[in-house]
This record gives sequence, C-alpha cells and structure tokens, in this order.
Amino acid sequence: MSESNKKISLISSEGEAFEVSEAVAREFEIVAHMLEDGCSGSSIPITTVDSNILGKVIEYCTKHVEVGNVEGNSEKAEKDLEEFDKRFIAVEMNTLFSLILAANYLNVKGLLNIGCQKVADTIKDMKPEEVRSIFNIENDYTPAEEEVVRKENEWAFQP
Amino acid sequence: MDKISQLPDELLLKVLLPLPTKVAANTSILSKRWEFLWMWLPKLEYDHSMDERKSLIDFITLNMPQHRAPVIESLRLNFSYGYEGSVTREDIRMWVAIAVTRFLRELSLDLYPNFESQTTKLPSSLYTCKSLVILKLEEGILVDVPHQKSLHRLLSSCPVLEDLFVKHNGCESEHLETFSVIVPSLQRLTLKICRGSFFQALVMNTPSLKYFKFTDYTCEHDDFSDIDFDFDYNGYSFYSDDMPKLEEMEVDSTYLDTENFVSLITYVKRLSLCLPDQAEKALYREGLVLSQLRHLKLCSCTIKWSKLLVLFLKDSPNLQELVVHLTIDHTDICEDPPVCWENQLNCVPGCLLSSLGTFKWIGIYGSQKELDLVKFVLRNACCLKTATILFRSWDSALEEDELEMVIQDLSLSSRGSKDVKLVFV
Repeated sequence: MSESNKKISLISSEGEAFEVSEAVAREFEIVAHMLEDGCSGSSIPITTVDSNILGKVIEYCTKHVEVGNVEGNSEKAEKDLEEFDKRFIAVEMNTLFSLILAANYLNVKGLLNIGCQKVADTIKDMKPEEVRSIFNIENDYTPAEEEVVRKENEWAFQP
Repeated sequence: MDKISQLPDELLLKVLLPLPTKVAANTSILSKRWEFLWMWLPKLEYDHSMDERKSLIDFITLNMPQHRAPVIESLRLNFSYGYEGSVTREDIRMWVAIAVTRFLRELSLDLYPNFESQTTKLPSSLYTCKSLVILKLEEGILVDVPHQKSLHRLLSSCPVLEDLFVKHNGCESEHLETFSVIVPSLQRLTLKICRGSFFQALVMNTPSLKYFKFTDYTCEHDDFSDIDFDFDYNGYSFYSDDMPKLEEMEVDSTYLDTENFVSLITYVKRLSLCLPDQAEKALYREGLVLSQLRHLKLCSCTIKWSKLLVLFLKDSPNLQELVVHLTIDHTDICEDPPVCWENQLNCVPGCLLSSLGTFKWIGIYGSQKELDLVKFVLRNACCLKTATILFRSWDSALEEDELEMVIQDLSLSSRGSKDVKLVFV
C-alpha cells in the first residue's frame, strides 16, 4: 500500500474516531512529528479538541491537501482555496476561538493564520466598547484608571 | 469568563499582529489584561500623515522606551508630509537608537526633506547594528560620518543586511561625488539617486546580490530649471565587483558607463531596462551571449531602443518572454520613437526559433515600422503561445478606423507558431 493511501484515526475528546489519510493527518504538525518520532499506531488521541471542532479542522486540512495535489492551473486553484478559506472561517465568535485554540494546539499554521486574521479584521473598525461587548470582555478599570490610560495614549484613540 | 480572554497572551498577540500599531494600541483600553499586551508586538509603524502630530509624538516618546517586546523586528516611521516643528531630529534619533538596542531587523524611515531645514542624522549605533537585515531610507536623512563616506561605513558594518532601499533625493545632495555600497551580505538593493553635477561614480561591492534596482535622474525633474544642465551629458563611472548570484536587475538610468555594467547582465534571468542611447555600443562591443536571460522588459522611450532589442534577441538564445513598454513617467520623453531594426536582422534570432513563448507590446504607437516588427516576430517565432498588443489610447499614429484595419491586418498576418493566441487590448 502506498504511503498516501494509509489511513489514520484521530480520536476527539469525546472518543469519536475520524479516519483520515496520512497526508491529511500530516497537516497537523503535531501529528506529523509523532509519526516522524516513530509513533506507528494507527489511532492518535486528540484529547483537547471536541468532535465538532476536530471535524472542521479535518475539513480544512482535507481541502488544502486536495488542492495541493492538483497540478497545473495554479492561479485558479489558489483563488478557489481563498474562497474556501473565506467561507470556512465565517463562523460565530465562539467557534472561531475554538478553531484558533485547536489550530494552535495541533499546529496547523494556515488555519491559525486565517483565524487570527479574521479576529483582527473584526476588531479593526470597532470602538473599544463594541470590541468589549462582542468578545464579552469585562472592563475592570475604574473610571479614573480608564481616564489615565486614555490620556496617556491619546493618539491611539483619535479617529 | 469571556472566551477571547481564555486565549493565551501568545495567541492574542497573533491576533493583534496584523493590525496597524494604532489599532493594536487602542486595545489597551479594553481591560487591565489588555493594557500592556500590545507592547509585546514586534512591529511598530507610525505614520503621521493621518494623525494629530503632537499626540503621536507624545505617544511614541512615552511608549517607545517602555516597549516590552525583547525584539523589535521592524520600525517604520513616516514623517514625509511636512511637519510643524513638533517632532525634532533628536526624537527620531532617540527612537531609532532605542530600536537598535532591541535587535532591530528592519528600519524604514521616510522623512520630510527639509526637516528643520537640516537633514536628520542617524544614531551611530546603527552603523554597527548586528541584526539589521532590511534598511529603507527615504529623503532628508544624513548618515552622520563625513558625508561622502557615510553610507559606505554604515553599510560595510552591518554584517547581515540583506535588503536595502535608498532614495537619494533633491539637489541638496549637489556635492555628492561617489556613492559606494559595500555590503557582503546584501541580497536586494534598490537605489534611487538624484545626481548633481559633481557626481562621478557608483561603486559596488556586493557579491551576494540577487536583486538590483537602480534609477538615477538629474535635477531637471525637480524644478531646478535655472541650473545649467550641460552636466547631463558628462557621464559617471560604474565600478562593480563580480555578482555571480544576480538573478534580476532593473535599470533606469540617464547615463551609465555601460561597458562596466554590461558584464552584470550575463548573470541575470530577468532584466528590465531603460538605458541611454550609448548603451547599444557597449553591448555591441562586448559580443555577449546571454544564456541565462529568460525575461526581458525594454522601455521604448529612447531613440535607439529597437537596436538594443535586436542585439538582445540575437544574444539571448533562451529568451522566453519579451515585453516592450513605456515606463509610466517616460511617456512624454519620446513621442514617436523611431524603430530602426531592418538590415540588422539578416537571419532570424535563435530565441524566436526555439524559446520565445510570450510577446507583449504595451503602448505601441502604431507606425508602419513598429507594425512590421510585430509581424516579423509573429512570422518567425515558432513556439509563441501568446502575443499581446496594446495600442496607445493617447497620441496614437492611428485614427480609430485605421486601428481596426491594422488589427485585422495583424490578425491575418502569417504565424510561425500554430498555437499562438493573439490578444489586442
């Protein structure tokens, strides 16, 4: 059996098994390292990621492996992939944070980057009050403390 | 507990990293946890053009010394749109000096030319910065060792500098005589020099260079029309040691001692040229074989450009792409560049027979000679895949109805390659 056909099971925190090709599993750098370190078992537990998120990360990696394997017409493929990324990352905030955490833990760099970029884009044009409310951040400054920060960093708060 | 605050600081910083410094600093107001978070960011970019200047300067002055990131990967300061006395040259020096202590990798400075009617001096610690990889300097900057040798000294002491951008502008540099770049590690160099009447030589010792973009111009573009321009024709010398790693070169020069320069062309795969007329002679004398050259872009603003083209076609057996164009700000220089190529091409150049796949002519004037040249390429290029012809929308030789006939004529002209896709834009 050629290496690319080899199947590997990734086990989510709930114990659910996701069977993927080795090429897809290797997109998780943490898994790639395990395989290189001679971890020959065909099932690998991913204990910190739940089924819902693990399924999504696998979907992301599968798409990127597929596109990477197609030869020629690279410009169109790249555009398709961009479109895919855009749709993929258009999720509600809690899912987005879970994806970022999972991508960071599993070391899937592409996903981590688009996830962080998405949050950055969301914050970019918002007022601090809006950012707080969207992200549920509790303002623990006293009004006096807040005034000092505002004054010291006046430039940053100009429109 | 809110979900975003569950992300470790390391991930929050990744979120802040793509944001402009101003927006990132804005998050300091969110909560106590966020107050100093942005100060761990390794990139700082301050652009005064859109901002209340006084508050920006206060902000940098307060925060720069306290910045927490152990490594400042890049510092970009843009104060190029004039200023009203609030930022001083000492401020700039101080900020750069702080950044240098934090293992600065990239410094980009764009300052207003007559900053307090003087140029800004950089701190001397920059000359020996062991971490500097990219340096971009625009306008109004004087490196503060005796000035002719300043850049030389700066550049030969930064051991890992890879990317350098220098724009030497305006006629306050009237007395510049020699410009030296001596950096063994340098891989990318962009030089834009305004040369005054004393300019004598460009000296380069950059053995690792892969990319070289060079532009020179004289003061006449700068509203100094009362100055005597005879020097325009007194050229200058170009001395360079070998650069065997050179892959790409873009040259736009009013004068270049081309003989010395031509030997560099033999290394490159990509070449973009707008050269003075005497370049053709230098190339001819060399009798070169440019076996590395794959992509050639030639500006058609000078009188003898087409002679140059013929020489390149003959000497580049592996050329794959040929682009003839007018560099954007050259359009007014030569309205109808004469094409003089007949009689020179007594046999078909090898690259047409075996390698040329792409041919583009952007901004063609439409004279008969030019059209003949296009037909010559179409007729003889055996493996041509696409030919793109863009007629000028301004100042064309052709009326609208003529244009249609010309296009039809070209479409029907004989082709050396069966697969060629002909595009008119």
